[in-house]
Amino acid sequence: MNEQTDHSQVFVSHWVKVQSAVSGLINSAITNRHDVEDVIQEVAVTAARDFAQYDRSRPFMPWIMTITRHRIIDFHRKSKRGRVVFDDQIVELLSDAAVRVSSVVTDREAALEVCMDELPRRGRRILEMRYHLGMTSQTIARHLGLSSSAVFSALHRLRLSLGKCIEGRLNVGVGE
Amino acid sequence: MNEQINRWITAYLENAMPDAELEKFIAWLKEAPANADYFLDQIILIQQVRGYFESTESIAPEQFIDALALLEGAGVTVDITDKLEQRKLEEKQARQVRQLELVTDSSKVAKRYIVIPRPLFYSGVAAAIALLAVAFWPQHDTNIDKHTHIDQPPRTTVLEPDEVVPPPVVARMESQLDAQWEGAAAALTLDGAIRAGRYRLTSGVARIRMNSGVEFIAQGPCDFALDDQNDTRLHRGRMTGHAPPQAAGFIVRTPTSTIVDLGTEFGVDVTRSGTSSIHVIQGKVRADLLQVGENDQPAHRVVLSQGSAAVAVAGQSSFVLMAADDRLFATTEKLDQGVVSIEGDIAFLSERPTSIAPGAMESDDHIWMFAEHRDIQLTGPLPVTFTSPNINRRLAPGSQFVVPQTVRCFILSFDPVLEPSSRKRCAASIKFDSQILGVVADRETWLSSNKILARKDMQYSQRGSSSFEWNTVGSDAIEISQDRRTLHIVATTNHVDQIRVIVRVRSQDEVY
Repeated sequence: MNEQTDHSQVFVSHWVKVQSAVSGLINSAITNRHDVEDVIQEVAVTAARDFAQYDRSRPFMPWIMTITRHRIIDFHRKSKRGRVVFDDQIVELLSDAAVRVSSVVTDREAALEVCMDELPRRGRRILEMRYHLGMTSQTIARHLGLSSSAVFSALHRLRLSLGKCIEGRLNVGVGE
Repeated sequence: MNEQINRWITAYLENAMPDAELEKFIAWLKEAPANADYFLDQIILIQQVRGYFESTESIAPEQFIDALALLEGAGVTVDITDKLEQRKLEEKQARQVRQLELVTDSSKVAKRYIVIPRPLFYSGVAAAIALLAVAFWPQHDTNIDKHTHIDQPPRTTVLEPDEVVPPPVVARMESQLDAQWEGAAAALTLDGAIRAGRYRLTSGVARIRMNSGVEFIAQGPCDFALDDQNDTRLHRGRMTGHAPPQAAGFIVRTPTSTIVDLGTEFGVDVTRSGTSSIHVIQGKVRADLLQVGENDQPAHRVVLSQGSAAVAVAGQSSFVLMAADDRLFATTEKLDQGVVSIEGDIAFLSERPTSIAPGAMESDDHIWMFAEHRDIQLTGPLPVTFTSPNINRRLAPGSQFVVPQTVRCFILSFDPVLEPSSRKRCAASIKFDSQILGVVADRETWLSSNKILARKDMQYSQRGSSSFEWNTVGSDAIEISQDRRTLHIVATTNHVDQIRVIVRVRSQDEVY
């Protein structure tokens, strides 16, 4: 294995572990989905390019979070579109949070699969229309013959119910 | 966490939070680290939900590593603003055009249209994003039919052991590229008979010729069943069907729809949850949205024409209509020309254009690609800019060449509209069925290779191609992968970037 391949593989192994937290932080601070994906790309490109400067004796998460935070702040400065919801201080607060929650969210992926499968079919479809097909609440409402507020409430309840289900499954796992 | 906080989070996620509430929400976030933790946790939960549905978007880890190596060398920067504005405008225009183009069979089902923007993964930057989406073929097949409420049982008659007869032969394997099969299908051989049954292609591409004349192309990972020579089921993954006119009537059943080919080429993509999208590349198809109900009538029927797509979500009463994206599929045209897959900002032309002079083929968000020569016998050495993997810089002019042999030559041309003031950027990866022998990517070599490769029936730039800016941070990059089958390219320009890719012609009996 040559040095470059080794270098890239080490980076990939780190990236796979942190990508949920990275995209979580970006998703929390930027509302447009296309913007989110572009900034994730920028973070990955920057991190890959600067990976040689990363001190491997230190944790990777804080290092990548620093890059992510800077890219978000850069994005807000460059972008003239939409409102900037969070200022730099909040972004910093959230990047610290991302470091803390990253291990928890990785553990719950399997539980999420089970909980998604347990959702009522209609609920799963609403989630799919909203988060997979990218439809707005208004479009979903039209499609299902509901009011927008009913879709809003459904999305709200579905998220809480998923959170509760995941928590229950993880607690069962701990007790076993 | 109390209800009010959760309402704020939902409102934030839905982009529906009034400013007054937002201020209170931000104050709450600042109150304690645990508050920020909870908020971020909920954001990540939603993105994990999204990931649950997006399981079919996959990229092999080795491709990811290759791409990273390229990006590391490229020092890429992205002009987000210009690109997004342009993309949104084009999506809006495309939606309007497609809405008019779609034809429904109104005699049977009332028209019900819902048109949405193309899903994110079909958009122009998808390839670059995909480089980061390290996803694998899911391990749990138990999900495959969990939501397939309308899926039909296998057409297998149960016989006593001594009465077992093999299922009928319904197709033959025409060719395979990097194909890996699961289970007994691993024994499938080139030109071998294929019996009715269910098959799982874990990776690669398989071209299957049905006895009816239909070509069925499966792209791994793909879980499908061949029921008879004209009837197939796609449980999950991507396939392309190409039916000559005499074989019209070929059927593909998915968990949520039934597609009938009306003499055409089309692609179908089925996600883990059973959602199916049908993209018409040429001709027309009829698609029925299945419903869970008491009768067999489709909930919605559409006849889709070229360039149209329909998405079928289980249990819904109408298709979601949008523009087709043929980049997702391995088509017969691409495979016949030796192109296995394309990721990213490439628009593949099956026919050569008449001109590639500046201004003739302009686009801000994709690189045009076509075969300048499907095969040409080189009678002398062909000068190229570089020939080897891992070289991401210009070598001494005249030091590299491709030895005489029969080759394919592709042109990639990136020509932003009207020479914009800011530079435009595209990125893509192209996988070929054979080794890349060399790339022509600087002006001097372009001009000298023109003497050998330029066609009389095509107009070229008088000045020659703009060369790639090898040494500038944030500019162009090209790289050949280690196995020499994939070309990664990042092009950044406000004028014209054009390159030639020289690929070995694969012999008929070669198996990858």
